[in-house]
Amino acid sequence: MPIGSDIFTSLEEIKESQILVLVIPDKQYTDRLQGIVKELSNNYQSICYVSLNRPYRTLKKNFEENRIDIGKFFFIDAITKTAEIPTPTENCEFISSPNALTELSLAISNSLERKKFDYILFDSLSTLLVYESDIVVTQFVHFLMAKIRVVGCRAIFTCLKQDLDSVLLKDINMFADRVIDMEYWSPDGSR
Amino acid sequence: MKKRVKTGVPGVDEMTGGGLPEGSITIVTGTPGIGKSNFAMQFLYNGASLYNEPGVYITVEDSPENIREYAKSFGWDIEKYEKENKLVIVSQPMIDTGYDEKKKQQPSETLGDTIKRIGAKRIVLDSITLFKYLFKDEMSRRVNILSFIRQVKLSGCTSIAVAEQHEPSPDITYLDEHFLADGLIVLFWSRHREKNERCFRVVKIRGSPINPDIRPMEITDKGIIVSPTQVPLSLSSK
Repeated sequence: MPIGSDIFTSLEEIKESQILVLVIPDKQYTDRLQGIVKELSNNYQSICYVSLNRPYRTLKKNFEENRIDIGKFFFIDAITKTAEIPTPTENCEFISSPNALTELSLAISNSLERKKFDYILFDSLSTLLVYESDIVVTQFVHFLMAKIRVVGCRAIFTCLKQDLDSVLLKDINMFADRVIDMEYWSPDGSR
Repeated sequence: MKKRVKTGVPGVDEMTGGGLPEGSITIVTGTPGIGKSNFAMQFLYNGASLYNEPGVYITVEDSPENIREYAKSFGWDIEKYEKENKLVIVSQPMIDTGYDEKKKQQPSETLGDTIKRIGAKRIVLDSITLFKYLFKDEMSRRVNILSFIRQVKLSGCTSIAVAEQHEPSPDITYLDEHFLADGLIVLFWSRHREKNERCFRVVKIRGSPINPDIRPMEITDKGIIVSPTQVPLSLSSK
């Protein structure tokens, strides 16, 4: 099963789009996400990784094991603080929890103002829906996507395929440039 | 339009049309722990450190020593500016067993000399709720608040008066002093499930094009930051 190789060089929709939503089946999620991270690292210099699922420590270990250049990434970690007081880390900002939406929005906005990123990777919209209602999350995502567009950055938001019928994903079609179902995607662009 | 006095608090000058009008008095109200005193001290400290505008901090409940210690936690070196006569902390104790009704000592009597001595441009009164305890009847309280406001305005200083509030929401019960002051800023908690978020709202600044929308406020290790382009998402579900 192709993971995510050549995703940025082969797929026209991705090359032409500023804001993408990648819909991933739950069984493929981890592998697909890793493929996306690897490809971002191979093709770009500066990436902001917003993680609502994995703490910085786990991501760092994973990057080392998979020889992904962590120096290209700045992390916004919304998980660690739910379990412990994090050690201050230069390339990571810690958010109190995945449902601290204002705090999260401020962290992303401030990061965008401080540094020019090639890409923002947001893992994941589905996690937001665990904590908050559709309406609140939709408002948050709309606000965030607007900010990303204004600064001229590009972004990938991931979500689980099981959330495809949610109000959020239906509205996302208005906000994002493309919503791509990764279940049947392959490197040659065929489905 | 009157000259603006910058607060130097990130985000606040954008919300108030460029700062507070020179010589005005603005009430900053909110519930306990929201950051009123912090805001007021930051206004004064910035005046001394960034804009070369000396100031006087009138404290009613807290001791000057506590205020200096608290300021240190934000990296504000109050003592440095006290030595340079750019900042003075005046203690006006509220609980005074020796209080003499006949003497009727008011903060403004001490203030005039201090203002002249250091050439103060900014004043903070923390808090205006003092008058509620000093003057038992409503009329006396109103007259004395008015007298205090008049004296402060005559001094030409730009002032902030901290006022305590009991309602936890942005919709406050307006008191006499809110109408008498030139400006009114409300700090409040917005609660959404287990999350409590500090919020900032400018109700009025006379003669100023304010941003009246509610915005999130943080207390960081360097002081208060208001985000004028951010929506407090805790209010989204309401």
